[in-house]
Amino acid sequence: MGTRLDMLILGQSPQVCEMLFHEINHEVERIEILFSRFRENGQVWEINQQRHARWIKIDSEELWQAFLTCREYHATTQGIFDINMGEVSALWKGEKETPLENEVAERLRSSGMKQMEYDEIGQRIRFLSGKPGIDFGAYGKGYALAKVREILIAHQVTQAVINFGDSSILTLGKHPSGEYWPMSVRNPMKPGDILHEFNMKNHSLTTSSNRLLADDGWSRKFHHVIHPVTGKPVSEGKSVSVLSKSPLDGEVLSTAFMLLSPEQYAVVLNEFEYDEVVVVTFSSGASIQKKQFLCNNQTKPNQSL
Amino acid sequence: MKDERTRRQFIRDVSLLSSSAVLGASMPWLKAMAGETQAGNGASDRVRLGFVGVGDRGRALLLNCQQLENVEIAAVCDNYEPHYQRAVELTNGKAKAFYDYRKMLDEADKLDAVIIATPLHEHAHITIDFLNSGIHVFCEKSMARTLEDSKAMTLTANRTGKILQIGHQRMFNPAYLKAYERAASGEIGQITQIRAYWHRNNDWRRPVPKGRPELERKINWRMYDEYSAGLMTELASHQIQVANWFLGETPTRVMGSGSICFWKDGREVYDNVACVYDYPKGVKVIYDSVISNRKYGLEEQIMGHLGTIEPEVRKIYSENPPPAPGFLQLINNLEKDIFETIPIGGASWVPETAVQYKGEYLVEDYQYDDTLLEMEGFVLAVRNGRPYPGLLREGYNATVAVLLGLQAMQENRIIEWPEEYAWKKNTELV
Ligand SMILES: NC(=O)c1ccc[n+]([C@@H]2O[C@H](COP(=O)([O-])OP(=O)(O)OC[C@H]3O[C@@H](n4cnc5c(N)ncnc54)[C@H](O)[C@@H]3O)[C@@H](O)[C@H]2O)c1
Repeated sequence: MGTRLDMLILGQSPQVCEMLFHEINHEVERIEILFSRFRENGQVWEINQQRHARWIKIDSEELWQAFLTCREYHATTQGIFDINMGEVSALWKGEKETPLENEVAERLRSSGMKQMEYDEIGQRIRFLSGKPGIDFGAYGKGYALAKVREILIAHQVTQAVINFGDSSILTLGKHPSGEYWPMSVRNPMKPGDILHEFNMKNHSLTTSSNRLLADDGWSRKFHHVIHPVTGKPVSEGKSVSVLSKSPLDGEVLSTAFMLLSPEQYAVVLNEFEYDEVVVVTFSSGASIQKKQFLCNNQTKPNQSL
Repeated sequence: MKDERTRRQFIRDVSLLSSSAVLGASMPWLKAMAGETQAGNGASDRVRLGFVGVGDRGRALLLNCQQLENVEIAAVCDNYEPHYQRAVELTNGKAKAFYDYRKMLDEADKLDAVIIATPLHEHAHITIDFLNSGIHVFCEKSMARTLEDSKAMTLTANRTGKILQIGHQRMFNPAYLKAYERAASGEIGQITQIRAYWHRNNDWRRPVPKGRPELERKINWRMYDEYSAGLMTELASHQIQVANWFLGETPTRVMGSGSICFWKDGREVYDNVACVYDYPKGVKVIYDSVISNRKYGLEEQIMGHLGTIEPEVRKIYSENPPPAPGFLQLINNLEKDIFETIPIGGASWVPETAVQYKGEYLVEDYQYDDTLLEMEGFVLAVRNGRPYPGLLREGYNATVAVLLGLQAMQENRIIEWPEEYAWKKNTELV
């Protein structure tokens, strides 16, 4: 993830804060290592070195759960959230060059979760063709935040703000002088402007975007999510922020929304618990269009509790 | 006073610095200087100074002393005619001029202190002679060309109770003092390594007047082993002093390698040196100096497990960069009980575009003339008649360390710090 982690914990002694700081850091690092595809000889890296058709045993229970959960997310996002797109997205890493159509098409054929087969009894997976390109990026981040939340709650922390490099923020309780934590998302196209204000109360807030403001004040294009059907990133400028109780749902939803077409929004939202989803699109001349979906935390209609 | 701004700024900073418990205790000259500077000029007693060696450095020191209040430059001495003449001119003929410092010694009762800026091999005997005549001495770094001479100078100072201050001016530099304070407060954690270097790109020679080849050794004394330990005594000395000071220790041993690599012009001293100093508890100081590339300039990179200090550029860096700006605003708001939205959320962070963390400045950006401050400190000590505790030990230990480094290079073996040259904190050199 390589993200910066800032923590604000209220109502605890400095000693407890220090202890929490170390425990959280340690846990985040552990998860980062577990899910990293860059770490040589790490489990994900090993999987990505395997040849197709061979069954790969997933020893780590946590990793296996991740594969299972991501399969569910794949289904609930209409096949858009996909953890096996690493080989295609590697083609889009260069900032300037656009990869060749046929190159993309070829990699795309053997990418995506459609290539993955699960053996639930043997706790194994295999890839039907091509080179595996497992990338747990969004899942790993959401999972880490969920774990951080568990740690805080286990230590009776009731007021806290945890910031994962600005793109994901986790809060507990409320601001000492208000009823919530007031947080807003910056406009990556216009320094100083904000896109939307959120009222956070035991929420996580996550933002995905293909435009980001670098510290030189210039906004940059940034392709990190690739559409599993077209093999391309979205070209129009887009920023999606999700306010939700579950950081994992929030990460998956904001990632998927980057690629979903407006017609798909309602169907996918129906599958998730969320409090607020804000989709902003940037058209030329820095004008923005904002769509807001509010859920007021109702129970999902199709879920019986 | 030539640079009023620098001086006023310094007074302000020194007053602030000296109130720090750490600095007040470990750098007594600061407290003394702050007290002095706060009380106005306070220079009631006139201090009469003599100068021996008015070459490059001696001239600079003289100009500095002319900026100080209630200081009289009573005598100058140089055995090289052009410099003798220059010294006379610089003092408008008011200072009594000598070619031979021994003649100056004869009139020692007209002096309170001397400032010695002769070549390295001419430090020890002149210093010792003046101390023995009851005169306080400021002697340029390094102390002496040999271990024996350095020790003899120290013992003479201790025996006579006279001040002997060695010209390592970084101990008077506000950026270094601030850096020391922050390191001592634990901000950069446990220091395990200091990497120091001094790189220049020139032949390090001074022009010899046409038709006077016999002056080569006098003018370019730095090139000859008999007079100088080359880069070690001339450059490394400052930086090893900084290392000793920040670590609060002296090296236990040193290994090194030196060569004449680029300037093969008949010089005897290395133009390329590299040393590793071992300190107690596994700490290391890694030193190198070359004079055939200047890209990296000079620095002492003081590295702890929580941060790094680069005092030459006045910077301190944390291993854990400070919070994102939005997050800082959140904290500020909380402290002030302000409830308003924080612009914090934003696009995914990618390492390549992450904020380049450029550290933090230790002190404001202006040029401190630490040499002026060092002279101010010396004159004040003279006025009070007492040396600053601990100051001479710094000069001595830096000198011994660089000379041992040279020995390690020349003999191509690891050199242990000899017991007879050990001068630890709270002990006497015997
Ligand atoms: N602290 C610093 O930053 C710093 C900077 C430069 C030099 N220095 C030190 O200052 C000292 C002098 O260096 P420099 O660059 O001025 O050298 P220099 O050669 O320019 O000056 C030395 C002067 O001493 C004179 N001299 C030599 N023997 C003498 C004697 N017996 N009696 C009277 N005069 C004598 C020479 O004629 C010459 O004028 C060295 O020890 C050097 O390391 C310190």
